[in-house]
Amino acid sequence: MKIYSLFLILSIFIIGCENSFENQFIETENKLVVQGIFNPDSVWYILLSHSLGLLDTSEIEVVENATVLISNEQNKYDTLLYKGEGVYFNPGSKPLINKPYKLTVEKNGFKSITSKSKIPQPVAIDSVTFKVELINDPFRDYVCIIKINVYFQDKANESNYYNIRIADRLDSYAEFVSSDPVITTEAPSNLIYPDGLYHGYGAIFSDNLFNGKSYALNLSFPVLCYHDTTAAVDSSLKVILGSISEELYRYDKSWEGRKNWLGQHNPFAKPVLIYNNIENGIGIFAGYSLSECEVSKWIVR
Amino acid sequence: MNPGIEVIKISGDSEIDTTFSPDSEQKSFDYAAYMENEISFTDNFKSNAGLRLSGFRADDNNYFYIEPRVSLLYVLEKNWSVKAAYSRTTQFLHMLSNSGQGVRTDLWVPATSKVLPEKADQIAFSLNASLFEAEYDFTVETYFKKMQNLVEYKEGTSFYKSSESWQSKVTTGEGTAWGLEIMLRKNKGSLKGWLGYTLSNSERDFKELNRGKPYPFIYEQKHTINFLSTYSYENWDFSLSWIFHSGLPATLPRYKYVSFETPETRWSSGGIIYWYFIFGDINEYIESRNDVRMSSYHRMDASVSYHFDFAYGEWSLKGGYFNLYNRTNPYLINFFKENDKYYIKEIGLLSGIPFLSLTCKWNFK
Repeated sequence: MKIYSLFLILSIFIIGCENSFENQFIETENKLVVQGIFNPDSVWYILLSHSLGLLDTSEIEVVENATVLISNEQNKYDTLLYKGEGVYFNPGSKPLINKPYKLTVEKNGFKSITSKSKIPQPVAIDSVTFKVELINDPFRDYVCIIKINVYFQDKANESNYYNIRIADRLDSYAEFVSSDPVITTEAPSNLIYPDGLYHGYGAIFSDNLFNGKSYALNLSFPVLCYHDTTAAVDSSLKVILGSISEELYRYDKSWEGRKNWLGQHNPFAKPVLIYNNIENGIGIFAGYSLSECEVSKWIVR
Repeated sequence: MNPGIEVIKISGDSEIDTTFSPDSEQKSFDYAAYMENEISFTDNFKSNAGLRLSGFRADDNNYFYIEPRVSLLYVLEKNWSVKAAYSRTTQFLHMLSNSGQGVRTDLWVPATSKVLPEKADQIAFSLNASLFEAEYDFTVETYFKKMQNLVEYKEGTSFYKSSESWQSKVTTGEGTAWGLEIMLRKNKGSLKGWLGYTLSNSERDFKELNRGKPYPFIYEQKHTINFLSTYSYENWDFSLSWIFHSGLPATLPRYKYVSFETPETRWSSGGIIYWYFIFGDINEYIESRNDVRMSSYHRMDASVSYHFDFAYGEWSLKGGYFNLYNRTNPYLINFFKENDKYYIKEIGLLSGIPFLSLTCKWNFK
């Protein structure tokens, strides 16, 4: 009978200790959420809010009056001021290229958070070449395709990460198309159309396929041209090549993957986790720098 | 000495993957030769050592592995012994598990030129006792296992809804498992049975998954208890069993937060240039893969059997009830958002089920 008694006691104990499933989603420790993407042309500018447990029905609010510090490798601290609406900034201080920075945020009621990143050296656009082609498709006869090659030199013996965007004359980012393997091999499936081409407003890529080499990235950009190429030649645009930190590359790639995953509506697919480089918190602290090349009336400036 | 040879050939439209993958035509050839020998060093100290040479050919790739194994047994006293064992094993079939919110589907896929065979090294130690004139057996065993070349789906992919090959949807990594097993068994008398407890930990470590951090295996059951007892009285057998295991891991967001609109906006004010982002939508945040635990699984089953002889046969009439206390054990998780509010519900399929069976064993001697 002893063994039955032991079994009975043990089973009552285990059933009694069973956790409620939903508690895992309610009893969560709220975390600080940071957006700290920085570049050398802007003053420090950081957004701060906080997370909630998934089943918590209260409102997510910005975090006010936190202590936000940026330190460099000499441990020199730069305290950011609270501007309102969750924004912390320093009007007199800009981040420098290639300098490692550490972010520290402290606020009562939350775990202190830290993160590190730096701005990579900008990669100059060596040249941009273009060719305007009139499309003879009866359904698209008002469109010209401007085929652009963007030449730049990748730095050898290190992993480098890029993004490429095209801005139109109103400074809005324009949709472009690309068959370049550097872009298509890394793009999520939702951005590769049935024509096999990448379609998007900006592409993120690494130097895996051209490490240390000069590369000509090819992009195509459609413009209205009314049966001849004159109007297209009058167009102007700006090619923007971003040299981005690995943290920003991984963050942007994870968002691309997540959007692709959500768009599939596939209940069996493994969820995509958003990249996070905030210790004890959520978000991103990452640097980038830009190089621009303006093409106006097809004169490259 | 015990030598042997095995040969397995799989070719053509194997049932492994014809449903989901366009590259279903997999041809493979699996062969092995093995040898083992038992050596007694003394009356108290014995060893069993073996070597298995295994090979695999998939498409144009040949794999060849040497798999050593050895176990050492030392009898401490009359009824107590300790055992230590090491083995290296290679597996040419990969289990590709899929689990979004608890619905688990497993595919078995072969090693290929891109996906190497799985390798595992395991060590185990055990303490064994035969007590009270062999009425009871008692065993405590602990093990540690290191696995390489495991496969998992990449994030955002599954076997479903794709014309891509499964090989382009998987990534490889490593795994570790360790555990402790305790077992008490009663072998004699009217009342027989056993009680077992297992503590286990199984982790996966993939560079491309879970932000490069280790995470629990989807079938990890931290605590498992098994109990079975049978009581025999004349022609009657009474049986009672109970099983418990802790909740299986599942991947679900536990946080929500406001993300940021991208790309950035450039703005100038008073000679100061800001490049700033604005708050965007509320998003769910998954902290780690498989970090949510479903509720634990447990149930008790009871049965009564009556044995009798009739028409030259040995008959058994058995009746019982699965899940005696009607526990609704979780099967999957239903996770959805409605009117900006999240809902998470565990769904169980069956509770208690009665059963009745009649079996007969004829002996025509």
